[in-house]
Amino acid sequence: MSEAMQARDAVLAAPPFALHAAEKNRLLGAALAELTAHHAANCPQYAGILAAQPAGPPIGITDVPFLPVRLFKELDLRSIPADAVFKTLTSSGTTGQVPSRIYLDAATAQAQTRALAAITTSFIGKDRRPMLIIDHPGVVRDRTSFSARGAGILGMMTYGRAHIYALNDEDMGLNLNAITEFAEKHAGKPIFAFGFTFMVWKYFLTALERAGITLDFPGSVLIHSGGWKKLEDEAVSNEQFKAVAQQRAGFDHVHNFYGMVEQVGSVFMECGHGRLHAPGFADVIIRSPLDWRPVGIGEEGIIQVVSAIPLSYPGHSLLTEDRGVLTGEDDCPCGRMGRTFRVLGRIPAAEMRGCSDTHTAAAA
Amino acid sequence: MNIAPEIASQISIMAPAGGSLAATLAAPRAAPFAPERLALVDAVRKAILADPAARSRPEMVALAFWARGASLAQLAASLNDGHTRSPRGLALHIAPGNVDTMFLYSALLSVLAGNVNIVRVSGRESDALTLLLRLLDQALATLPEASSDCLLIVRYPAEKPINDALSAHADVRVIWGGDDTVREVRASPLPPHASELTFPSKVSAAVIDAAAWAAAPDQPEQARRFALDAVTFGQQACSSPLALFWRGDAGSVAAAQARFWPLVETAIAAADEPFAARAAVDKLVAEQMLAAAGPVLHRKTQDYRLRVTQTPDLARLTRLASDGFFVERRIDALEDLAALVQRDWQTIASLGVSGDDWRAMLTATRPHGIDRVVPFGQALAFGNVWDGVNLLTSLTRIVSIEI
Repeated sequence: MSEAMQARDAVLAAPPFALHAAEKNRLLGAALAELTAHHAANCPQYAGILAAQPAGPPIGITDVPFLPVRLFKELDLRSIPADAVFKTLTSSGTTGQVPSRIYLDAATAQAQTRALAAITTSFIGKDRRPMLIIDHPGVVRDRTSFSARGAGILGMMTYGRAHIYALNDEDMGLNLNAITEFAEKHAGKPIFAFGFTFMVWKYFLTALERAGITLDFPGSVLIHSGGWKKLEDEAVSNEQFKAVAQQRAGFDHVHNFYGMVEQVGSVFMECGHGRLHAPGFADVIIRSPLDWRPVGIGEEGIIQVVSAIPLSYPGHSLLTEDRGVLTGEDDCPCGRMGRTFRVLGRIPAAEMRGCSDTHTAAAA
Repeated sequence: MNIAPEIASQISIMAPAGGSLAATLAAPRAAPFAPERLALVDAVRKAILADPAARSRPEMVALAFWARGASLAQLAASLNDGHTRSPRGLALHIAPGNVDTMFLYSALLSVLAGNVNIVRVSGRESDALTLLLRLLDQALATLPEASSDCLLIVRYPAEKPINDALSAHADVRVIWGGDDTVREVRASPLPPHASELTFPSKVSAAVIDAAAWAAAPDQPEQARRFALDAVTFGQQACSSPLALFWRGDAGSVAAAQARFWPLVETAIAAADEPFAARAAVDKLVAEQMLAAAGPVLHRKTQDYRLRVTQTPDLARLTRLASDGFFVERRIDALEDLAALVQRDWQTIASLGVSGDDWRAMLTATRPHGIDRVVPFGQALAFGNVWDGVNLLTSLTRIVSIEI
């Protein structure tokens, strides 16, 4: 990694929610241009993709070419030699699907850790609180190859102390002994809880409700992520989720966040006003699938995410498989700068037609 | 003939209402093109034409057109080759997971051939399947019970014991679907005398002679036919062209392309198929995968309803995306195709290349694939010769009478 990346360094060093639109477009735009050149020079497939596109030099955030996230399932994409791979992340994915493979080197992993710290402390403060991990310990046991879930939990563990796992390995049942002991030890104090949205709902909140247990952690923070698809199927809204989390466990502050294994460190956290926030070193663009032009506030489209972090693989500008809508820019009542948005769900699967049925995998 | 109760209980009868496995297994065969069999096909035709939802689907209208008396009389005449023909017996049809109409042609041909038919449809729900089942049910309800027993539509879990039980009774088995479906069903043995027709995954392409295109008086119409071949069924039928090969020198090909694609774009816009974001993402993935693999050029189009990638060396034709995604390549002569043709190539939609040129190329190079060469607009038209097989003769047997 010999190239100087001054803009990238600068945007990563800035406080996460301080950059105003014009400054951000200049600084992050320049950082993304540095990364585009870096990946073109170091990843031959990426260079091929760029060469086939009508290209001018990128001048702003929306000008950076983007790769659909599925490309990381189809191709092995990295901008570092094989022996520089520090760890490999894989997407959890549904059974039978090829997972994404994301190759990290030490520099990228380090930048990711710092970025996550800056965002997280903006929401839970600098003090490390007792931490309740709403999952089972088995999910992080193999430390050489991480699932997205395992990586997420390990990443978040840094921001808490005295961790316990709320669920049992065998059956995802509540580990009541551990929870009770934890509750007694930290009674009345604000704790930090983290888990994946569906796990938190199904195996924690619903299980507490069924067992008639109420926990008391006033002022606590719950951060959760992983998508609403399964909860939508059960007709659970974000509001309902928050209400139950507060009543059952005393989680006064519940923050959902949007992110994906394919773009490490891009964590778009929901503030107290219910908006997802892009941090300074990352951004969100909503595009029309008809011609991929960026659309404005209030118009639905496909979510593109950009980030100054990915050095080891060409994932600094990605088109997701999710639909979303911008809700504002530099104008959230919570005071954080940058764009805010809402996620509207996955792009629906295509209808299968014709006389052969073998290409179902392509729609996954 | 019987099916064990624990197997039969897993098989749902979808049509006709009141039909049963026992009645169908006991149903009599008929002579090819017997009046009661013609009446059944005619009832299906009438049900399609009477149904507004069916009438709005071009593939249904095409099926009804195929089933009209005059075309069936032609089919019957094609069987009059001096041989005496008998039905094979019980035909077991496995329809593809995504029901469109192709498999129905083979099922109805089998009805006409005089066979008794069990058709397994997919467990996957779709509007097309619901419509099809309603039409078949309505059609069969208009017939006397004895003559509707020869066609039974069933649904059952794709499990080997059930395939085993039904296959054990089959005299001929017809499998539509992907390669995996064919492999799965083939694991169930047929009786020694039984035969099998398989219609596995196929890919198709188009060829245009650049000079002939330049001279064509009806360019917009030809582009429209190409677009319809492609976008009907969302370019997902085995016969939908996925690639376009241009015959000619670089200059005339470039000129032809510059005129052709905008006309196709106009035709696709006019066809007004619903636009799916998923398909647009698939096209983006497809073109980037091609670009990651080697030097290519993405043609500039107005939007993602149509995308075209030029590849100087197309190694293998695969279904990368659908709903208006093409790869194109120039060739000097038809013979250049020979090195590219794979066993799974089915249809070539051809413009400006003569039948003699095709015959000469096929005779000289004997490629492993290519089942049919058709004019633009005919790629999806069903023929009773399909994937190299004459369905009607394959669904009957010849009795030689040599006295």
